Amino acid sequence: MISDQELRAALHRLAPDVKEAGVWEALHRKGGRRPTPTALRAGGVTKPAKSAEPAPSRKAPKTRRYVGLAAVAVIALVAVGFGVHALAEHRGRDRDVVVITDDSMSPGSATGTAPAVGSTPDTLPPVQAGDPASHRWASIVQITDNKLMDEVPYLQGDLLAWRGHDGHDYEIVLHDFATGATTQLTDNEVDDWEPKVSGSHVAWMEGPAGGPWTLQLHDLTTGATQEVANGEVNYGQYQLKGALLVWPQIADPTNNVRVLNVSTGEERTIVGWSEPSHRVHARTDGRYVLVAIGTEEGQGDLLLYDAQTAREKTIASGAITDDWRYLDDRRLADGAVVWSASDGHDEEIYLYDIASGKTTQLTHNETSDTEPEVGRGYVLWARSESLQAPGTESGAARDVILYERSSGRERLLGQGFGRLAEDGSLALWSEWPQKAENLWFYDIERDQAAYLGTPGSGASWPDTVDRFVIWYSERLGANEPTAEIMVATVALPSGTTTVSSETTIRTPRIKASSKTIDDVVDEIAAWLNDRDIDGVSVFMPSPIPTGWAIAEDGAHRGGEGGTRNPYIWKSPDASGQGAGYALTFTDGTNRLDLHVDDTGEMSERDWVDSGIASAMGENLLVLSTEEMVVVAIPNDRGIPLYVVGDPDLQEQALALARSVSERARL
Amino acid sequence: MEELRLNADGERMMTLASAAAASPESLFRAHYRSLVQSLALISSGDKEAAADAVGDAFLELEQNWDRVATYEDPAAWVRRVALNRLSNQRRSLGRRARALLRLQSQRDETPKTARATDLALRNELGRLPVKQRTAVVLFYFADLSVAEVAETMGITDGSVNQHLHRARQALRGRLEVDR
Repeated sequence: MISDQELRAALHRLAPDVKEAGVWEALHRKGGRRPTPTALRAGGVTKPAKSAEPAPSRKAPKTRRYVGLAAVAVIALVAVGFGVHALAEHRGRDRDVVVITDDSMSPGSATGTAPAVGSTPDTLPPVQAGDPASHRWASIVQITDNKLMDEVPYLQGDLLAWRGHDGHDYEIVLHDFATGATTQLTDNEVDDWEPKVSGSHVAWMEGPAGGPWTLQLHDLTTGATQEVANGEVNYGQYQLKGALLVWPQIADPTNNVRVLNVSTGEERTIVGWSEPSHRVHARTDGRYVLVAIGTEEGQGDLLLYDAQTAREKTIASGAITDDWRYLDDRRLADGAVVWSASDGHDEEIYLYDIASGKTTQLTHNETSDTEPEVGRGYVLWARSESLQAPGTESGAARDVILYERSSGRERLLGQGFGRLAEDGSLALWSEWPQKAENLWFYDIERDQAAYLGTPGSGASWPDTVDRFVIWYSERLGANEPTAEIMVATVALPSGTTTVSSETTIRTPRIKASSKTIDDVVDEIAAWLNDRDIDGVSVFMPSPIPTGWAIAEDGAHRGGEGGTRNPYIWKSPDASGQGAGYALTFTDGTNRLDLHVDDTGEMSERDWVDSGIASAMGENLLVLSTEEMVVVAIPNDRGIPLYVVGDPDLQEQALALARSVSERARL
Repeated sequence: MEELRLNADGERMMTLASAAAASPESLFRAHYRSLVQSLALISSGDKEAAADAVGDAFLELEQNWDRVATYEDPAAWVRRVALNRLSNQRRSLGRRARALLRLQSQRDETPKTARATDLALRNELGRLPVKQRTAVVLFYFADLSVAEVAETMGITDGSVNQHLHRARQALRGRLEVDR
């Protein structure tokens, strides 16, 4: 058994070597963030408009909320033909429920205006994403709600697979929207990762965190699971599409790329390599197999294998400096292969058309264009400042560019990480970095863009399939993080699929007054008794010094507070900050900002944790006297009360709150 | 600068702001290395992300020095900002980048002084929930007190103790099996 002393010593041995020399000076050379490359080019950036101060919302009590939302879910899902029914319990896991969130949905604003004066001939005006509005036309369905980690969803047809933690390790879970059934495909003592679905087959990786991993294939018709890889598989480096399962296999007996036809059972080895440092990745569209063999020096080959003719062709050779660790499923789609490679100065985007056998360079510029994806008729990629430019740092701002293959024109969607649907129907982007991960989408066919929502704190990279958007939302709770699977439908207002759902957004109770302590406690009791709660806990941050009071100027950090305090805002706010609740105290000279976020913590912070908009303001009670402020934000474990003020009053409040808690338990 | 504070018993006390004589650069010299190491351990060995987060935190420190200098412990402020930066990086990176981080973590950057049992510990540390891992690193590696860990993580002392307790249970249980 490891002792505390051994643990301390081991951590010191494991700590990496860090050099400090010159870093301070380098930081000062670096300075602040630079504008994005498109802004530099166009003289300004058009970012999706943000609401200055959307109304915070509240949820009904938890049990009632689920009942109510389940009813809403039925209405909503029938309306959109989504076909979700109550989810069945599955082995070894908590009961899952279907929840429709009260996230605000909005239609997009009109777009397609004439190109702005001065824009380059081959560039369309930036997409204008509309403000969130009261019109609700789409739904987010939370698939899981079991307080465990449910992550990495993969949607294909009616089947949604993900990895879910059972309290011991990750298992593979499959939900069938057609039948409403949820099935746990694995139940073992080892982690199962990154499932993918095609037809009646589900594949996943199995092995401990950090590897080694094997590749498993499950046949839904027979219920049989087989280990298909005779050796190790690199993390995430496999794909199942159509009838083809492809993966690079490491060693035993050799390094090679395998192609398995899951329908016929025929397996082929198409590429072998012996140099251990080579990075080999494989992707398929169900007929062709794309193999990238790269070296650490940024050199390598792109090979295309036709599973029908068993012919192989090298389509690019030399500098393929694209980071193939990001090799996405959508490098090969719509009869084309896309990649990024250096032209000797910076990275450009290339497209190989399989039918014609021709390669086209899509970009010729001074920026770094990387991580392309191809969907029907379009290519999407990230554009950032040249990685070769002096002083360029990693993590520079990224523009999301959408390129129309038929016209050769490109369009700026926004900043962040982009995603393109394989059928070319939707493009997504989520903001980056240091902000709430607001998710936007662009309906390519309708030429409309809109704010989809905030995926949630710690949300995963969203994906879009068949006009659905899927992701998992991680919540960093007070004790343990949880993650849940989310699916959004996208239905535009001009169609017939408008969702008619009861709004659950309400105005929180905010009462700043000169009430007595007894008044406040009475209100707390009434408020708590009006809710179905399991318990009340009490949290006392550092007491506010006597003589301090809530600031009256209202200008908390961000400057958008007007004259009101306490101040509540919900992302996205005009200042670009996250969401939260702030109290500013002052003694006339000094000031102290207290921020509350949905993790159930209150602290003195300089800035507000981002990505918490989805949970903030949903069920918030704020009561204040001249001496004390009480904030209550229910979470899954009860309702913590945050009491700020004079220590004596805090003690009174605590005692009474405990009484309330006891009554509530009874 | 004088400021009014309350001690643990709620009594008023006047203190001299300890940072009055310090400067952002002196704080940087004193804390940069250990802070990057701590965050690298928290982020499962991603030294680059840790260095980015800490660097950003010190830049913010300098930009907000007039205010932060009045705090009792500006270094605690830097720790909080750096930790939040790291947390946001992790949240924003998403699935693809997480996969990348896993791949990066496979690179053998293990210090030469590490022992075989240390590698097992590193693996198990990486499997802990992030708050548990953060608490363990700040407490055992950075040698912060429970109160300082709580302040850095923006949680209560009780939560820190809970995270440490659970982490120790998990680490000991798993490592015991492995031995």
